[in-house]
Amino acid sequence: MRAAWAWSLLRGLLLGGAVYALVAHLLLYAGASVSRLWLPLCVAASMALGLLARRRRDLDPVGAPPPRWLLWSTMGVVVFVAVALAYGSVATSDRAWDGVVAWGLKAAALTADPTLDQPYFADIAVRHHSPDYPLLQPLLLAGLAQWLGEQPARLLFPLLWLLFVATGGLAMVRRSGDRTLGYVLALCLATTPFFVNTSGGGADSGYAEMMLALALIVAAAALLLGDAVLLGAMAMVLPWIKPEGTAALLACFVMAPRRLWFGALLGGLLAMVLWLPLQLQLGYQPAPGPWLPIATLSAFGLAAGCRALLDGRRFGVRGRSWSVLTMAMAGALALVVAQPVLAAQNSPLLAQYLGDLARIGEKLGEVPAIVWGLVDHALRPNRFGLTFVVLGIAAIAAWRQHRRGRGAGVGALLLWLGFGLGAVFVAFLLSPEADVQHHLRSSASRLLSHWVGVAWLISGAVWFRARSLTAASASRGLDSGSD
Amino acid sequence: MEATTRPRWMLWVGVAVVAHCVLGISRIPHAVIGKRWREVAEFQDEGGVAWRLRVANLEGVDVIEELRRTTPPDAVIVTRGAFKGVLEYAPRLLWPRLCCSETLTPADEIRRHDRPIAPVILVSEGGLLRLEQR
Repeated sequence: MRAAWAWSLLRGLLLGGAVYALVAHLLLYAGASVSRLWLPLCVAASMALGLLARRRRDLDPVGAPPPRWLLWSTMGVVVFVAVALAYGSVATSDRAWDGVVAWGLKAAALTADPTLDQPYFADIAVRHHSPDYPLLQPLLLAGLAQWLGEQPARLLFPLLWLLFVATGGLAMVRRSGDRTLGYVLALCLATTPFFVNTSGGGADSGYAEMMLALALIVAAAALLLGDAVLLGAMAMVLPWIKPEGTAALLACFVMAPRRLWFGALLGGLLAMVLWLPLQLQLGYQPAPGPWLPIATLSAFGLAAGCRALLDGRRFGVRGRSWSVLTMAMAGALALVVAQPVLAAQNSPLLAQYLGDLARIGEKLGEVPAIVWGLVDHALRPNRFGLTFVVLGIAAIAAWRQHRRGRGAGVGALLLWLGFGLGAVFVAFLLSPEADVQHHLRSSASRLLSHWVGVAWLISGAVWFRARSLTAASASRGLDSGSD
Repeated sequence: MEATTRPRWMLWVGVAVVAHCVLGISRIPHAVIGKRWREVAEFQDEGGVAWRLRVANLEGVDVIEELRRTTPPDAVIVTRGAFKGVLEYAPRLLWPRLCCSETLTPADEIRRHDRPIAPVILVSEGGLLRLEQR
């Protein structure tokens, strides 16, 4: 199968999932049920459109064709692991903590009745975990369960893992034209332990980490390939997957190059206009009235204005750095101003994490423990293999390439990843959990896992750039030798 | 000739990538397949309620099983106690029954959302579950 065709199919499937997410959230927002027809309809239409609209040919092949052993070992690993994950998904219902108490129960409620107008979501007396958490994964599970039944619907989990691996491999082939590099990247993703482990956060554990990691690697691929539509779609779904997705979305908008940020802005705007009122409803808050969509629109308008201004010629290449700094300061200021409002929220998410900034001061003494804990988790071979070791070397190499004016074009991605890892650190400062060591044990690996795909994609792009430069130097050397 | 030499970091990345893949592949038989196989087998042998609570180091299997046995699937179970630990698990283990907070369920109510309210209260105290007449 040609890489261009495979990429179009994959892109269509991902866009189909995003369109379904949009339709489902619109229906929930309108107080309606999500008919089971929507999922196949959205996915089939998007895949057909994706294939029909395919214009780009494959890049001319670069380097030698992949050796047969690499092809077979990659395929073998992917098939073996996918079968194990499929078995782990279908043989039982959720087995790990958050999968049991939060995500799986929401999916069961939406399978029984795909609307928020049911006691499970509408009655404040009904007790369940994280009532205002995003609903995309439960919606997808429910959409599949209405066709296949609850257990077979859990095949969604190995599918997400397969899409994660395929996105990394195919995006690298699209970027470089080097199929060998694509297979190596896919193999690196497939052999990263975290998502294939049986612990919480693993692909078949029922947690939403796999889906968030998939959305992030797709957004990274879109940034790398200059695909504004795909970036917009992922910016839209990020806040609907996990709360951490909102931070990633903001970064996605800020870091995207000029040509792409409008897609991220539009996707993010759609996401927040729909999600904020739904989140308030799920948190049993009074209906927000028209001020919320208007305020959201205004905030995005302001952000777009700032970004457009800072992207102007006056700031030149520094526009993005100014943009990052301004947005970070504006975000911090907004958080400080909004403290009384946030603290008064019923929502555990808003009130506990964002409603008490004074906690940061109390936790400053824990900063070394948090940093060391995160580094320790990132370097654990049974969690991430050598993912972050490779990333560290690649990041230094990228910086040196950039200083020599021969950058790999991954600056935006590296900044984005830096922002994401910074947000992981800040999450520990903001957390209401007083026992930092316990929080690190329970969450550090999961929060880091979101960025695994992005890390491998960056490493692949930096490697490819360096190899191209070496090949070009060799070619020049040969030319001058023959002269 | 020097211009054609690959940077040393590429060698290190290559070594690290090979080590990553070898490590990942070597874990597949035991950590990916074997462990998952055992976990599923234990889950199926013990039953979902007992297995999940045992693995999470939580008590209360008998109480949950009794509620599942003695109440209809559409029942509402009134609960008391901090919503953490085993009580956090209860809504999932008792699904499709709904767990409602005692403080938000009037004592004289016998049906809620057209569902019968169970005549017992599920109480969580010090990590232990017990049933109390309502």
